[in-house]
Amino acid sequence: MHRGDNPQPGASIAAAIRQAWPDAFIVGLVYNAFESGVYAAGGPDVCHAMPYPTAGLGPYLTRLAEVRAATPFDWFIPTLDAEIAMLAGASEELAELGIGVRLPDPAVLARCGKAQLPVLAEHCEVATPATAVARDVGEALEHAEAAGYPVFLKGPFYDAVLVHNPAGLAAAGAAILADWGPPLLVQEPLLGTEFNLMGLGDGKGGLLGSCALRKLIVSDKGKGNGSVVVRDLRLDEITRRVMAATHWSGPFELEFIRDQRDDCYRLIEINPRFPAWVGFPAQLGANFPAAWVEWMLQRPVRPLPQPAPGRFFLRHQIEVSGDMGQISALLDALPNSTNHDLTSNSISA
Amino acid sequence: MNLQPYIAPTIRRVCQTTANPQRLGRVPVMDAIDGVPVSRLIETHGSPLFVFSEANLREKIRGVRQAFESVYPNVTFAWSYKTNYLNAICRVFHQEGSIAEVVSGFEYEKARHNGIPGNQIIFNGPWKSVESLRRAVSEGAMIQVDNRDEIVALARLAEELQTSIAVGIRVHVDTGTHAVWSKFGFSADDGEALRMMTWTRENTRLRIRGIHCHVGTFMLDAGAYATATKAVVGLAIAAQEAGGALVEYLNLGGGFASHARLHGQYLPPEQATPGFDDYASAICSSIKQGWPEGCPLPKLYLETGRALVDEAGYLISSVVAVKQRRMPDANGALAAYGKGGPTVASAVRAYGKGGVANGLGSTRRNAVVLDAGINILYTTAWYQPSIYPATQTAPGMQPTTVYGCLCMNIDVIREEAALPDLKAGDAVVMHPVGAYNMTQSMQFIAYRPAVVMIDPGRRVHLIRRREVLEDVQGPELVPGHLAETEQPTAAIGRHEP
Amino acid sequence: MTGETDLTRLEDLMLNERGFVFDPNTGESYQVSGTGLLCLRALQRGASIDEVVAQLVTSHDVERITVRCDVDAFLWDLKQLGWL
Repeated sequence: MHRGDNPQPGASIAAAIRQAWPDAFIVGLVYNAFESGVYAAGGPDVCHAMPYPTAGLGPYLTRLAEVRAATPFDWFIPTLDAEIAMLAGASEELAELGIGVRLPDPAVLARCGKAQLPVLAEHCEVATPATAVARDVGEALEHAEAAGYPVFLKGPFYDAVLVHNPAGLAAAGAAILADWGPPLLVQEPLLGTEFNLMGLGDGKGGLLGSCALRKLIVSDKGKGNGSVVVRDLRLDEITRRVMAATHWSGPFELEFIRDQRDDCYRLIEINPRFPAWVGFPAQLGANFPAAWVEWMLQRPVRPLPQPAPGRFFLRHQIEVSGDMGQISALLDALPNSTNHDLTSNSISA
Repeated sequence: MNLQPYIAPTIRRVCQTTANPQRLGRVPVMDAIDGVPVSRLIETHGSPLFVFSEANLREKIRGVRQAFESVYPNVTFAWSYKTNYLNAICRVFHQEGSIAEVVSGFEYEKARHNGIPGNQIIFNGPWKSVESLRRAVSEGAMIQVDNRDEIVALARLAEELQTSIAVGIRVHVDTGTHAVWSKFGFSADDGEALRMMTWTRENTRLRIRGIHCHVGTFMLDAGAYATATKAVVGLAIAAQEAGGALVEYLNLGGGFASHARLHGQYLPPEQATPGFDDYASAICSSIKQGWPEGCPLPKLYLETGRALVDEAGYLISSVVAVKQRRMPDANGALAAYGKGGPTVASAVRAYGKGGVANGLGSTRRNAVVLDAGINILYTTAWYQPSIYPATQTAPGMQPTTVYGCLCMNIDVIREEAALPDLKAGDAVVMHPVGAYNMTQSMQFIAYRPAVVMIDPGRRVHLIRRREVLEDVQGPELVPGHLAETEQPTAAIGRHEP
Repeated sequence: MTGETDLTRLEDLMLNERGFVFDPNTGESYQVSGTGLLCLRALQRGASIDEVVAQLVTSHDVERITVRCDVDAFLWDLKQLGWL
């Protein structure tokens, strides 16, 4: 639910659903009491802390059941890569808890994963940056030596670091392995402009809608802090091929670089979820989260309008305010209605 | 008056990285193993205590057999002695139809002692003494030759006995996803193995009847077996065409992952570990696709150990002390998944604001000392066992460092396990610990604990008693001039000639 | 705040029934265990250490020596924080 630096999609998804259904009851699931979206106006009605996906499916489901008992909800939209990796294939367990969910098929998810992307891209006849899979830092060093520095070093779920020499690679590699485990991906860095395309797959090879952006402002973490809507038939064609090959069901984001050497798009990554900028097209009449909810509820979904080229967003940070008592409530081990207001002897006396 | 359970007064600083008590998940209580209360096991057999579930052992071996037999006509499992050679454990597998796989003369003796005839023993390993080879040959064991020196030694033996000896040949393969185990056998990738097969045929009385390839350990990618199997099948065909061997069996070794968790493994075992069906499909479909039509399919041997015994094993241990460990402020950039972000405290400190003295200025982590150490949990070097409280405790989980009992700083069983606030005397259960910890444990500082097995009728059997002084010093000899026990004198540095 | 020191007074601490403690002087937050909360509240009321220990012993299944040992360690932590 965080929306500061390095924003996550959760808060935007909640806002987009709220936009379509102002009275929706939205439960925010957070990994940290300091996620800013918890405290945003119009945000979730209630929030609960969750175990990390690395803790395992069992503890995750136990906690979901506990949360659902305290604050009933019907549908669940996981928003982060590691959650989706853990939950894909667990639809039945979730259904037993009374939780509706639409998740990608585990096999399809694996095909779209970072390590297997080159195979899928070849199948779809889409160019990708040269990528080598390394089991450890030693192998990553060998790949980087062969490819020539600089290279991008990536983790299986998250993190991408541009490294310029073996020392930088060793440090970044150790950090990524410590956080995410193997494999490491060594990827050629491409010079060019970054494009992102968000869409909703209908599970039959088609699309319920899409929106393509070109990044205008890139943060030092590589995040798009400003982007403009574009329309390029080549992007649509690539997306069509990826959909046809995977029969992707649900939200996704394709990340591209338009290579300045040949002006061709190269597919960098497929994210199996809404991007953090999902709130932007919602403002332009293409409410992807709302369409996804309709789809989950098996209601008819009209194809989403394509936002007009030339519309842009700029990321605009604001301060949301909260009270330490709210932090305390999220720190509670069990969801309950205990009063978390803070008082002091001297102030209350 | 109803007395509440006591938890000590503690205070912990809250920072962004710790601002989620759920982050490690809630660990369930494990107050019984196979229906037998942990408290009763401790009462009867002491703490620490290794516990094996016979039902789980049988379930696993039946599961893996079912997975392979449903897709392949002729498959035999061999119990990997080195994974756990407690006789009771071995005998469960033998009862379930497994033959034996041994890697030394000592293990060979154990298998024979457990009633396994020589011709049902697969004899592996990079070193086999001449005496052990002699016995294995005379009893018809399936020797898997590892290196040229062993081939020469066996050739000499065959000459001496004026007989031919049927053997298998160990090879290694680059699967592309895991490090190549080139320590073992001959390369199947560069022609070395094929050359040795034809050389052996032309120059010795040895007859190569099988190819053995164990790709590695804890293989989380079942696809590696498909690559290895294709290479082995290709080698068998090439060897036959070159007149080097008539391959009757393939041995794809072991290496199937258990539900243990590697250090640094992000996704938990239930997601990361392939099922037996995945391994069976990778291996068996590769043989069926590659094997020449019209030829009978080769016999398939498998030697999986860890995946069959790991989850049957538990270690009960007790908390002997509780500590608070001072941790440096967490670094890190990722608030998602709780990977950090600058801490609140560091931001405060940046303005030179004081008041927070040492100690609680840094974050603290619960720590407990257990009565078991890493000398009996050798696998904790690579894996992190789950640690469950054995009694109902406070609902909140805290990241807890779990120290072993050894007087050594490296004796850390888990750097960060989710546990409730524990107190001295509370029992915990570690799992899975059934693979390699028996065979690789060392006697160090304390006696090694007893091992019990719970049978499917919930009866508890002692299968190895706790060590006593005589077990440790029995093999020792004291020279005569040191035999007299004297009180140490105050003299320092005087050595009598 | 007293005029002589910028250290937090015990009675200034803001706390709630879940043992969450906010130090308005430093901006730091803390979580105390249930028994820790009991100690803090008793100390805020001006109770002596012996009284705190006695209160814990009568309400919990524990030996006095254990409580005394833990409470003294807890008080040491509070001293480190400048609260005592």
